[in-house]
Amino acid sequence: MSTTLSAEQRRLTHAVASASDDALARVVAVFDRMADRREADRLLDAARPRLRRLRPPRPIAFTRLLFLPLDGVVADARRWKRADGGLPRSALPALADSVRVAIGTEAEAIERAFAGRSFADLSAVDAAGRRLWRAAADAAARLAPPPGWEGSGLGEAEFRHCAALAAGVWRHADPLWSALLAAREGPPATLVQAALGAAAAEDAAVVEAIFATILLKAAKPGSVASAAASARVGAPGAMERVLDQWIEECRPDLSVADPQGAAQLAEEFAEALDDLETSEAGRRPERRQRVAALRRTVGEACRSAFADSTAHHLLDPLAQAGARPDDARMQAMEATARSLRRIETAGRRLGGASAYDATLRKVIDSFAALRAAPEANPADLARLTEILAGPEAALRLLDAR
Amino acid sequence: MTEIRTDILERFGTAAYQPATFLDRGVTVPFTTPFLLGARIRPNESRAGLEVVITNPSGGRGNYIVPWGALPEICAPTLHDRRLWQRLSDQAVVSPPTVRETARAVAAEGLAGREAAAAVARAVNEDGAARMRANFLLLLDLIRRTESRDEATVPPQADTPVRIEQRARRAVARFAPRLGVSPEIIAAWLEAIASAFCGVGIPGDPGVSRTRALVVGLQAMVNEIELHVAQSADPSEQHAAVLVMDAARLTLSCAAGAFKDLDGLLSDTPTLLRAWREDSTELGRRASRPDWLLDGWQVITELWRDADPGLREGALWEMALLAPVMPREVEEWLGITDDWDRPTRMRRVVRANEDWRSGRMLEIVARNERLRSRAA
Repeated sequence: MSTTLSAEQRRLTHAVASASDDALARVVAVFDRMADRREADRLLDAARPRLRRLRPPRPIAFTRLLFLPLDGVVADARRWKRADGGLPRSALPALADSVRVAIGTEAEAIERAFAGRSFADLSAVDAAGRRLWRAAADAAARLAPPPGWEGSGLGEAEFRHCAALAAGVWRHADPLWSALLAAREGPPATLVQAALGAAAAEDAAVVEAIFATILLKAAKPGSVASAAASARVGAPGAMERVLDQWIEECRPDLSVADPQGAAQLAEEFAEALDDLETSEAGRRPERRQRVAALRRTVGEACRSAFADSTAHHLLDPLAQAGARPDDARMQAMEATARSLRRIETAGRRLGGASAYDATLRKVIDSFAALRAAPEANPADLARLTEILAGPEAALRLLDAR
Repeated sequence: MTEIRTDILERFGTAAYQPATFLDRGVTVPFTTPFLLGARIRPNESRAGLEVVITNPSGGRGNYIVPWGALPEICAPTLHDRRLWQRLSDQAVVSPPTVRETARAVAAEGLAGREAAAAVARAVNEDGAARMRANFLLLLDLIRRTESRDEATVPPQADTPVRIEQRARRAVARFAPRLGVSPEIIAAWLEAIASAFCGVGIPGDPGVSRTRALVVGLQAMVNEIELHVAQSADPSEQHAAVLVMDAARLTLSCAAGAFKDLDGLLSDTPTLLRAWREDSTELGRRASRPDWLLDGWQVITELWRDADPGLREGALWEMALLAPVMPREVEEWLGITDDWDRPTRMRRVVRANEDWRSGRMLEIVARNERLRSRAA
């Protein structure tokens, strides 16, 4: 029986993991509406790297909101070990149930306050989150394994570990959340230090979890690591270890199917790498090579995304015999071209300029060939050329006889 | 598309942009290059060439006044702007209609996108319809003023199309000898007057003319900004909003004066035809006054409309940078007096336009093209 279920689960997991971006976003929306999403979470595990890129709008849910300050240390249940710290994803629903029981009617009041709102609504997250984390921290002493805890495959010792870690972070979630709100600006050193400093008296694992969560969202990981090091809290070497793990787990998954998302990710990577390389933490000899390797990997991902996407989204559709894109299609192609230009701009910062030059030459030559076709619209081709290669190239294409 | 040759540009920086006349103020060119948004073309001092007045996007040191020929050297204009620049270089006269027509021709080629091209096609059709309506309304008035009581038992506007045509022919034939010209010339003058005034609109026209629509849009923008200021956390800190509203209200008051002056004239076709015979050039100038007065405000109202409600503070700074200065010539035109230097003085508190420096040039070009398509 269990073998059958596992096989079924594997098939479903594979189906979710290989779904298109649009389909995956729809699947997540359905899962998000489920009262108990334990099984759903397992099915999503293989698709999580892609979800991080896609960032579909997620409705605020009790469990996700509760563990938002611990995002940096939530691990795949199969790989989690208590000795490594962090929380196994499979424990979150049961832990949330335990908090729900402990805080009683406050849980319902908080759920009513965020009903119908999404995580994109920062003011709703801010209000409900701070209230929930405070209530959870106050109720920490009353947390006990709920009836469904055994279902998570974990023992009582694991529960105590998870509850203690989570409670430690919830107690200092206010300054942590303030730092997360400013993640796009670094976050600034003062906010990082305030968040870590507030937890100085806690167990080292709590400080490490706070740092890992900040790092996960930070635009400038090197600066954050340097700020954390100068805060002088937590176990010696812990910040270094978390930063190395962050570098290790960086996956530049730039999707050809989603040029806008890919552009966003490419820009974020370029910014993060620039920051890492100029920061004290990133310049350490033992880390420099790893950062350089990450730069090469991200650079290669940008070049591939740029080349593949220009072919897939622009050249192939335009080259189809008699293709005359309608207004909506043309508008979409122009938007895609803008995203590709962003990937190129970010990618050039990471190296390999000649590859971009070569791709652009190929694209412009192809546009020039299409320009000669009787059904071609020179203005459309010129505008795409302008977006990708600048106005001079566009003018040359337009004036070509 | 992002490069600006500041070394060349700085040579053209000036604090002395206090135009005495509307021609000195220049005419706004619907450029899509972020650096050139709201830039104005005008004849240079010797009147032998053209120059362009560009607002300093950093909010300091007034404006840049750049020789027209140097424009492509100081920045990297978009494809659309290069074509527009080429076409405007050939223009002998600088006026809102010439710039509008030239810009429409370039946008119609699709160089600012298909949406802008389609908007131009619609605008050209609307102008054609407005011209026909103006001609028709002028003829109806001429019929009323030349018919006897017996002939006018049915008001002309209520008559059948065939009868209206007959009565119009009779009115033109009857009126022509009073001016000592042929009926054909009267008909041609009426068409020319309709063409000159269709943007202003003839009183009684059920449609809203191009310039009156802009006034309505400008007034709506002022009302919305007032509300925005009232709802802001600190209304006393809304410097950009105050500057925009102040300049807009002055323009609205001047435009109201200009429309009042023209409406009187346009309500009496015989007097209008006499004035046209006396000096058609002068009448044409008066017809273009609303265009000159309102020039530059279309892009500002569209910036306001386009701005995400949560990002309107930023939009207001951009709008404040572009708020047109009212030249003293308006005193001669309309007898309105004001503290003409006031908007210029306030301009100094306008802070840097940060969007322009954000590096998202392609997005801003796309936004400017969107504005272009709404202001065809």
